[in-house]
Amino acid sequence: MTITRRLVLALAGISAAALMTTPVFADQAADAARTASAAEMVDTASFKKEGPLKVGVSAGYLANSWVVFALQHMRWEASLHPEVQDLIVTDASFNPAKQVSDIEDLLRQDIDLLIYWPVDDASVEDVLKRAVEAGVPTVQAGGGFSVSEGTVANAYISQYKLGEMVARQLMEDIGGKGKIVAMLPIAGTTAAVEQLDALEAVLAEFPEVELLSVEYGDWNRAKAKQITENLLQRFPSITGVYSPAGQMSLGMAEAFDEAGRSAEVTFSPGDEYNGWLKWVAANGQGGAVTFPTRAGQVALQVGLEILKGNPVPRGTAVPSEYVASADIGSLVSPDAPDDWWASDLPDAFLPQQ
Amino acid sequence: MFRMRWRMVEHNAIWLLLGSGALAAAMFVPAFRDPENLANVMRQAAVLGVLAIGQTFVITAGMIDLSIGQIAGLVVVLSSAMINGDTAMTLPVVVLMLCVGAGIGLVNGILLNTLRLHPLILTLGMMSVIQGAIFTYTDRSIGRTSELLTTLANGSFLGIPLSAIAVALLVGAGHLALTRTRFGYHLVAAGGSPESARRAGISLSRIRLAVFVISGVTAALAGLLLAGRLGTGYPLAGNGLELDAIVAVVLGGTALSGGRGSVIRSIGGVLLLACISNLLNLLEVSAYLQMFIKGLIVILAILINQPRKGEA
Repeated sequence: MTITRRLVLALAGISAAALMTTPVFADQAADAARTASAAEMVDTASFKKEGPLKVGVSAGYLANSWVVFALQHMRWEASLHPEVQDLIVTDASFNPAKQVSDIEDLLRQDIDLLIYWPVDDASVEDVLKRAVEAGVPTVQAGGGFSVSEGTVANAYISQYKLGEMVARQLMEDIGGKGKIVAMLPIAGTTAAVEQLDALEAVLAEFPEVELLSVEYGDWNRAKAKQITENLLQRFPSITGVYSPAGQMSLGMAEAFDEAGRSAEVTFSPGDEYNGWLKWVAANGQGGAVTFPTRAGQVALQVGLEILKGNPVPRGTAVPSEYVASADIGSLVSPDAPDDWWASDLPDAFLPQQ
Repeated sequence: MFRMRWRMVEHNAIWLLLGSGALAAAMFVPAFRDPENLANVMRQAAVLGVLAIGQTFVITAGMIDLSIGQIAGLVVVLSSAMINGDTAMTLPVVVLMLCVGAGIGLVNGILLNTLRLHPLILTLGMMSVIQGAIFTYTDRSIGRTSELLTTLANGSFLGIPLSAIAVALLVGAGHLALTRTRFGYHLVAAGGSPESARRAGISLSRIRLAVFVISGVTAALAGLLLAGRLGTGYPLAGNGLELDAIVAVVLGGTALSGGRGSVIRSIGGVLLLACISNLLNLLEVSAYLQMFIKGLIVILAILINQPRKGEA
């Protein structure tokens, strides 16, 4: 009994000490400051190198069709530059510790340029710093933007801006009032964090909109569907759905449809995931806010400029664009599978269907 | 005679596998034999090595602990948040985190003794509880670890990674505890035949309590090293580590049924996994093929580790 009481007291003390250390989160102002720093020019003279070049790509994850398309864009760009002799790709499978090890292994292979998309920005900061100190320039590709000693430049799609565009379009479509649910990617990832921050910032302007629940569907259509089935049981009325990722929007739409409640809900735009684009074309609502897969290509273009010793901006934006449901025909590929992305890739570089 | 020789081979299978694999890799992949690359491999193996030490005790005692990955993850988050770049906070936070690990291990042990649940189910539940607690606290990376922990995780002394030296010391202590102490003999006996051990006067509940505390403390140590590797408190940092640790321990020849185990051979399993991962990266093998190859090795190791006819 005494042991148990002491144990409870000890754990309570530990919990209290831990809770006193409150996490500090990013906000809209931080995003604005970060975006402003994108315009800064970076001197890259010290990274100048002649070919042949070996490019290392450290992927935080490859088990995602968007990433596969972004990587194909990178391969396409590499094929246009004969001096790029090798493109070595590693996959951290959502494990930040493995990504640190992967980058260490890539550095041991004498790469000339490192392109990466992180599982988590902060977790790879130290190893990236070591890469830059070793004379290997680093370019972040995709949805993150880092201003640190370890990241020379970014080819970025702002998750915050994307989230904000999606949220504002949803507010417009539901008339600025109602009850909404949010479906985000894997909890803890930069994408989930920034999309939620953006939604909360927009919601602050719409007091008549109630956020019923925030869920994490892990970029997984089946999981998003299952979660939505539970949400439909919990809430008798759902006016709108905030879901920037098309594959999860598709799972959610299926759940609403099967529950016979499609008529009550308005979907936010999703990205250019083909299954979602097909749904938008068939249902005439939702639209798309793009998350361009050519970010991979832009990252390599920026990296090659660095290796020429040319100054580059800290951030090269690959902007998201809103495509209304009426114009979705320009993006959708009716004959391609759902797990496919609207892109400019030539046939030779399209992933196998 | 043949059976004795086979047993000897079986006993040293991990070293034969590791030695022949490393030799072949060194001959055909020049980058692999680079001393800095080998130091890299040891550095990368350190977190898993510490976890495998604790898991060896648990599995040898005939149990399993699935909560260690999340204990390490919790320590990564809490230690980074509490230290937040202030090196002066390192020592008190390290002590506190070891208490957290020991505390969770103690809770696991008490619940196991009280509720008589299967350890797989109990620790699976604990894993989920800790993961929930981490995400209740934060859904994103927080804090900064201290320079001291970063140096321990990434630094070297005379070309040898500091983390590898720390793991070697822990392995020495673990090996002695398991093979040269009364506690170790009792643990092996309890894992091999709980009923016989109980009749011989060994307290099974004390053994259970002790192995889960050891497992919790090593998980906390692994979490501190992991925090040093990452530099920040990433809430998903511990995901999947428990399975990697179990694989390493099984590769090292520790019987999943209990009663047979070696801390040193578990480290052999850890080094084998780290070498394979490093080599596949150096050979530019696709990530999907890497998963396939590692899966095959795990299946092979478990098949070799199966008890044969005539064995308990």
